[in-house]
Amino acid sequence: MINILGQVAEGQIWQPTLTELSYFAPELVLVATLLLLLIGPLIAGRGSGATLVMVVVGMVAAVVANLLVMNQVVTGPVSGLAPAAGHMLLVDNFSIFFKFFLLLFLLGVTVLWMVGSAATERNAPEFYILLLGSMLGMSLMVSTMNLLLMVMAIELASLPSYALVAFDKRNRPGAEAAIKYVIFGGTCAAIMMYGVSLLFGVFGTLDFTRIAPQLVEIFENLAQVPASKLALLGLALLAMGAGIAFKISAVPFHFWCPDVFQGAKIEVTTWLSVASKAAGLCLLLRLLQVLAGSAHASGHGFSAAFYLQVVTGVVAVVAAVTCLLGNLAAYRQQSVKRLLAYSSIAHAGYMLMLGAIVLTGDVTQLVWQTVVIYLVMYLLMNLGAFGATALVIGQTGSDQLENFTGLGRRAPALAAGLAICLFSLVGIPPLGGFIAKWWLLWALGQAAMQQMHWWLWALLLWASFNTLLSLFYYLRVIRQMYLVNDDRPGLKVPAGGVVLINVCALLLLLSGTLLVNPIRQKVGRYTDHIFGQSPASIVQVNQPQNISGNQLDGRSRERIDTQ
Amino acid sequence: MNFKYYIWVILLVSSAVLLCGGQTALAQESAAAAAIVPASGPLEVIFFWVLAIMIIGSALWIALTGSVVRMAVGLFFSFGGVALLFFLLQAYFLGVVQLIVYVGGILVLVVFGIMLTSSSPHVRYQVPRMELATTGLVSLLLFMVLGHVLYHAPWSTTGPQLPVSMNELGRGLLTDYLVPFELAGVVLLVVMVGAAYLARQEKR
Amino acid sequence: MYGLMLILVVGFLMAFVVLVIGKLVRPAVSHPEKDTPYECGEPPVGSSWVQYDLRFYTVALVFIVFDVEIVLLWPWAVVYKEIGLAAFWPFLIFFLLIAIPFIYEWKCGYLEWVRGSGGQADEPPVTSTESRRLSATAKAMS
Repeated sequence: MINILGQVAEGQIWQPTLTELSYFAPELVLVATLLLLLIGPLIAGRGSGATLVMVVVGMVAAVVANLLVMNQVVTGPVSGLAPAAGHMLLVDNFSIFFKFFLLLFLLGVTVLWMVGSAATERNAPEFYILLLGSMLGMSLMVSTMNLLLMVMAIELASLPSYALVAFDKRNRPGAEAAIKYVIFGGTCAAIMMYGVSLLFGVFGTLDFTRIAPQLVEIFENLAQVPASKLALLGLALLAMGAGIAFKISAVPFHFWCPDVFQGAKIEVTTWLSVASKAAGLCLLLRLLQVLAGSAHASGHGFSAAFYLQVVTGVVAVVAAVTCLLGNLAAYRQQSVKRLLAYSSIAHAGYMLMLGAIVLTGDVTQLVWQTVVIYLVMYLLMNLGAFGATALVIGQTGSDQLENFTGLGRRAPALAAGLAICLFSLVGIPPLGGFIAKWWLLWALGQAAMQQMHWWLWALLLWASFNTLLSLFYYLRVIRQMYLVNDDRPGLKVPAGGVVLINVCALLLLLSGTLLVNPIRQKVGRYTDHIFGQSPASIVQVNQPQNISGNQLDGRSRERIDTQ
Repeated sequence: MNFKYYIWVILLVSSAVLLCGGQTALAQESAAAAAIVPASGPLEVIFFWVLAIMIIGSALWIALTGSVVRMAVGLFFSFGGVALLFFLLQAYFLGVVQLIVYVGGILVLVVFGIMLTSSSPHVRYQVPRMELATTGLVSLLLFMVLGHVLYHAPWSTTGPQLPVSMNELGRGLLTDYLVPFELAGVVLLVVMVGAAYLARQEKR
Repeated sequence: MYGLMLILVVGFLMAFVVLVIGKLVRPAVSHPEKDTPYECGEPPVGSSWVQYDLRFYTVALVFIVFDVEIVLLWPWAVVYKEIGLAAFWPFLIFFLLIAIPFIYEWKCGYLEWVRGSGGQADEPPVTSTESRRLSATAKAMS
């Protein structure tokens, strides 16, 4: 792995070099865009056109910056901006993918906003500031290995989301949803911070790449480790897991999801349904990946393998329950937003299953590829489905299922796009959603073959069974659109929205048919050399010596020299 | 007899257990404690007791009193006690942060929040008995687990040595923790915009 | 530690003893007039609980933000002299990150005190010239 950590002579203070900063150009561009959005409206006015220009400029700049960085980090992860604290910020192919992913999604949400709210809403700058702020937090969530920065990134992703949920101040359910979200999110964040502080108390460092080998060591010699330490560790990991599970909306922490999704503005719902969950999931996968990498590096024995299995077993159980609950609860819903909220819980469950197999040494590459494909497909499906719901809400004023009646006749283009997205959410064959599910099942199957664990086969079956379950509630919407007919008047939906939804549908259709092979070839681009994947990049924490000002973390430095 | 008093008794007993636990922890693991608390003489132990009673007592008051204004007053003592506890542990910077941000800032915000709503000073919170029982039970359980685990916890001694001087902290913020430092600025930015937006009154 | 303890104990005792002595010495004559809050000799009108203007809340939020900033800048200020320019740039960025939203709030009129009819006025963010005009009328009115 490339070491760009600043080398500093004795007595000097470390300063980030320009090279070092250039690796984090996308983040810096986002911050600059935030400032531009604050200053710009004072000069150019608060109109939605001027704001849009600023946002687009920022997005283009971020994409360009990301492209430039991408060409530099192809061969391996880069970490830096902290001389001794370890992997404060890191860039690898996956984090680059994730930034592209978020930017693409931001584009989609921007289109939704332009179609739906831009004409009536006067607070466009605030909306984009909050959106970009949470986006910055999410992108930082998947590009750090430092627990302090991780907590801060989660906070940065959450705090604007709370405000976004209450963005439409005339909407009382929105305010209620925001309060629920704040209280639940605040509690989970507090619990997570508690867990992180306990981990710091146990290991004396916040760098997860240094914590992971010690964790593996503890797993390896579990019999010798005092029970008090184990209890403490269990508590700490559980508390951290709670914080992450909240972001993913995995089962015991999913209560906020339907209420918030229903109460919030639909653009915000769309944003939260994909971006927030994806960030939480990728954060979890990254942590597990580092754990797997250090287990691999230390050539762990039977005991460590067994207890790592226990960790993944917990993830697997949570994933399975999340799936089932999401799919079962979606049945009774009359509100389409709520239905899609439960569907997103179920999909979070599917994706969480990947967390259960990322520790299996030989399939990690496959897991990351699956994540990339699943996330992109999920983005397209959800953007399409929520976008169509937004248009229906815009025309009829509510998201009740009965408003979708006869949509196939009233707005054929819209209904067709929505139907494709819904079929894709189920995972019907010639569509993108099927490809995503196929990769998921394939990865699960591979892991099951490798490990010969019955519970992995069970997980695979469970995923298929849940897919079958989910078919029926998506079909309810489609049935309402095409088979139920009454004499409601036709809908005049804005053309931009229909285009957006049909672009999503078309992309889903293409990726399920013509683009299957190109996708398979391209996906490796973003999943090679992922941080923590090869053992070398874990152990080789290149540490510059003689740095003034690292006393805060100084004690744990001795470990490095043994390398 | 009011049901509330049973909960009071349960919580008081459990906090007494906590206090005893803390006390014995200080006495028994003095060797380990010496690494964390450099000077833990009898005076510190007394001081700890006083603070612990103050913090837990006011926290219980917050949980059980019906009046929002009184809750804010309880919060003052709770926050202040925690600040003093930081001083006792020689984490002077944290103590000051606790005083400036929590006692001086958050508490003011809480009081503002109470004063901003016309009826809330007069609102009495009546928690249903079932809820009080379940939450009391859950808290008690959580407390027992946490207390047990933390009491026996073998803490790492590889962390920073206390007291951390302000100089070291400053250097840390400018070197290793430069990114979180700047990110705090971004968080404050976003929060300021979001909060101001939400607090603004819209045209109806 | 002993000094702190001494201050606390003596401080507590001073207040306590003075109050106890006062309680023992003073005559206990109760009168309804004595229980009313003192408002410069005027008889009090209505409850002392009044609803604050929501605008105070924005100011309190800004206050918290700067509170946190001060706390974070304190260790920075301690090392500034020995580190010099390397400490200046991080600070400048940090400061800008907080100063710019502040300017934005100021310009958008979140921090204006009197506008329209007390606290119940609902205004969208106004441009700076408009807010200047508004504050001018407010001054003229008062």
